Amino acid sequence: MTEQYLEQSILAYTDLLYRISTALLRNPQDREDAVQSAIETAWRKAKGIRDESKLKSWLTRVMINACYSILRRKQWETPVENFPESSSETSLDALLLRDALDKLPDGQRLPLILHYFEGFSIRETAKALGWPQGTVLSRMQRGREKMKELLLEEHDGR
Amino acid sequence: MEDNHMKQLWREACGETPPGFINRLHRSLGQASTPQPQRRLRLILSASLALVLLLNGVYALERLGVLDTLNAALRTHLLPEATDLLKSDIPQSARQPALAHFSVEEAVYDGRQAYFTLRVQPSDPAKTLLMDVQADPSWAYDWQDSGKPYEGESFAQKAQTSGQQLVQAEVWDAQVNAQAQQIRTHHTLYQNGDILYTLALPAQGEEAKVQLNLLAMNLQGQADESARGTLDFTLQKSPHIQVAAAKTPLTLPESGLTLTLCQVETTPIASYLILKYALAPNASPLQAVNFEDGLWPEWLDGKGERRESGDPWNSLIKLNDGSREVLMTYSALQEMPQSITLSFYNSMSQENFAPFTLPLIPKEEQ
Repeated sequence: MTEQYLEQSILAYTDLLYRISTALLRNPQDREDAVQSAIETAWRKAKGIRDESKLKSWLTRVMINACYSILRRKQWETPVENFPESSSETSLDALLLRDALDKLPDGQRLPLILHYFEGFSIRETAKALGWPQGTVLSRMQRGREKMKELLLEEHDGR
Repeated sequence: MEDNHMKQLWREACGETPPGFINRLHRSLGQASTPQPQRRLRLILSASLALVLLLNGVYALERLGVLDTLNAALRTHLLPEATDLLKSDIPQSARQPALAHFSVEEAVYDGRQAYFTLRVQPSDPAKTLLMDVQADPSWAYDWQDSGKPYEGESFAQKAQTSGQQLVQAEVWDAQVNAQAQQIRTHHTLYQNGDILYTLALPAQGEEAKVQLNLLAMNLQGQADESARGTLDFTLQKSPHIQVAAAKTPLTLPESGLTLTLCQVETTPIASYLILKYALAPNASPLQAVNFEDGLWPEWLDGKGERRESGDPWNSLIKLNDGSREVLMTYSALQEMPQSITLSFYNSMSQENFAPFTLPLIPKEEQ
């Protein structure tokens, strides 16, 4: 894989990397630190990637690791919420979705986000999270059920 | 709800990717290609240090210190005098985490940055396998040596086959002179089960009182108070720093900026460019957008070529008054230049602004 290809790919995935960071980190500075750390790691290790089609899920995994690394360091600090401040343009449905996702554990939230919202295949989701496909499917199943409950509760509470 | 609608809601919930994130990504990409560190013997050394290394023989070849990695990590060219500034046998006090022992081996403080190597050793090497802060258990244990991160035994496999616990060891927070500072990891090296980090902290003043907050946690277990620790040490500022500044404030009509500080500091370790700028009162809306994106300086040489700054930790900070402060690190210079040629650019729009040259006045003459 050439450096030019890697650079172009990372640039193409900028928004994806940002959304991944919002799923795990609340603080904008932490998200910037995470993307810097992820890119440094990606640059050093990308030469080991032989199949360029796997770059997207691999980069996602590197970004998730960078976010977890920051979370580990901050686990004694203020509790972590998961999304940026909403703007006045954010719709009520988007806010409800955000709140529902926020209430899921990481293990259910991340596969739901990658598969349903970011369009990863089950195989790509498994690669990105470093889990067996069966684990991805079972956690997504539980996550979907929980999401359904939460969205119904929030809908009834409007 | 339909899949596409949910995807749209998800993107709406996340919002637009902010300029700060994009800027950091672009900067990191531009500076990500870091050469491998060189062994100390390959550096240009003063005769006295070369003699010391010869006397130390094999031990010297096995050691890798702060200057070895700094030259490559910052892509700077160190002056031979840098070796004279290096301190070892640094007095330090620590409350060690239960699973690992941290110690500062070598350090240098040049008045702008405190650079040091931190050795992490497992408390019980037979039972513990250390992993660095950026690694993942699935990554190859020896990728730094082999250059093949996805071939060979992973951290997790190695720990399992040898019946060891996998422990991630790192500095998770730091203070300098009682102020929180971001710890910067310039290089990580594995040596016979130890981890040797090359780290840096921004510092100012005659001495840097450093406190590192340590973390060594078993990745299979829950972290508790015994996973944490602290390490304290103090470094004195090198006497070899030269400072010069341009006359400010200065308005730059093309970029719509008012430059309030343009200072160059040179040390045997590196040269630093410190700029502060604000949006000029008569700036246009487009210039205001550029300002919000974050304008980075380029220091041009006598031929108009960009001087390379390889430090991935160059910073652009938004100050409380809304102005910006930029710190850039470059190669060490033998002499303080009499003038500096700069241009600003917007890394998001790739827009470059015309260069300008400012005389530099040594601090003692100001």
